Amino acid sequence: MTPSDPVEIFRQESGELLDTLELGLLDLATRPDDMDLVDGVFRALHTLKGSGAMFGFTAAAAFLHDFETAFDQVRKGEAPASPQLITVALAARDHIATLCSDPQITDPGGADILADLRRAIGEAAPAAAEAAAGTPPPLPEAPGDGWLIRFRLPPDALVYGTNPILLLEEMAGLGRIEVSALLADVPPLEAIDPDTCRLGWTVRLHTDQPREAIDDVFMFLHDGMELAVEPLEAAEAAAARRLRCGSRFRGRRRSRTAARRP
Amino acid sequence: MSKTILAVDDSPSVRQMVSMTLAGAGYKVIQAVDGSDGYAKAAAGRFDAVLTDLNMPGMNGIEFIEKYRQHPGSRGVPIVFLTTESDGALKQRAKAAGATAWIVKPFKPDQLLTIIRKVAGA
Repeated sequence: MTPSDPVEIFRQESGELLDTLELGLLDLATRPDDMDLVDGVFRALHTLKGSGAMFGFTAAAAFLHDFETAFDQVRKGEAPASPQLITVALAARDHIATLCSDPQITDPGGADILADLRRAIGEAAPAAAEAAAGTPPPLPEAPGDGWLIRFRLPPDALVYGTNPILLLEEMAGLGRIEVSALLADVPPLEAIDPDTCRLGWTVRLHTDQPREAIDDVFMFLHDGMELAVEPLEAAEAAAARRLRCGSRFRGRRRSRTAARRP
Repeated sequence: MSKTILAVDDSPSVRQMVSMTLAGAGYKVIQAVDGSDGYAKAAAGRFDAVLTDLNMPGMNGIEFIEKYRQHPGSRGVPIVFLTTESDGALKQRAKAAGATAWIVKPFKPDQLLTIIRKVAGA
């Protein structure tokens, strides 16, 4: 152990949070409607859960997750902080203290306490509907040559700290890229607001990476941005078809013009 | 020159883990213990990114983000918040307040590093 060992810091921190939890629960026994107390108890549970999970106290984190989920009903006003609940929550607090003593510890007895907790909350059974959520459709596999990506950021993206150069660099990390800027929305120089992003980009990304890799690049930006991704081969074939159609059309125009000439 | 990250979290162990991870990758890390401390430090300096927890006593993470985004020094500064899978509504509020990105807790050091590099650069 070193003075800066996060696991040891977590142990010390968990002791303080468990004290906060205990005092909060004891105060709640006399002031069950005090929402500041409820929030304080919830915050202690939440912080313990998050820190415990990060530092390898998995049994503690799992138990705390269920405890927090149950106690959230009190926070939302869906269940009262009844004397029965406080009694069980104090027992749960003691159980957490044991679980926070050793990251390798297993959790005998935790299920019984959680069952008591749910009974005290008035919950019939743990929610099991989460798995019923629909499965999203699969994304396309990696195409033959890569992807054609066109994107425009939300106008406030620069103000909120999004750096388009980093996005382009991230795509460059996936393969070879050819980038061109879309300038149609850029106003004259005198009308440019340097904080507002009016540029767009087209990126030809030559890669064998799947579509998910592209989505990861834009994972924080889906709200309010324009993003079109299509397989590069298909996009280029469509562009070539458009070009051929354009050539035929121009050729037909030339023929008609020539035919009209005397 | 190394990039400077402001880490705002009421959990000493999380702050320590964040500091060790980012310092090991060449970032300079300034710590703040809650939203009020975070705002005081954010407003007084210039950071390449701000990392903040949401659930904190006193000024919480949402209030901190909202207040910091009112400060002209926040322009162009990415704000990353720490959240959990169950915090869907909170996540939307943080984004609406002006956050740039998020990390789902629990996270591992390399996940933290990936996100910070993504928003602040290496």
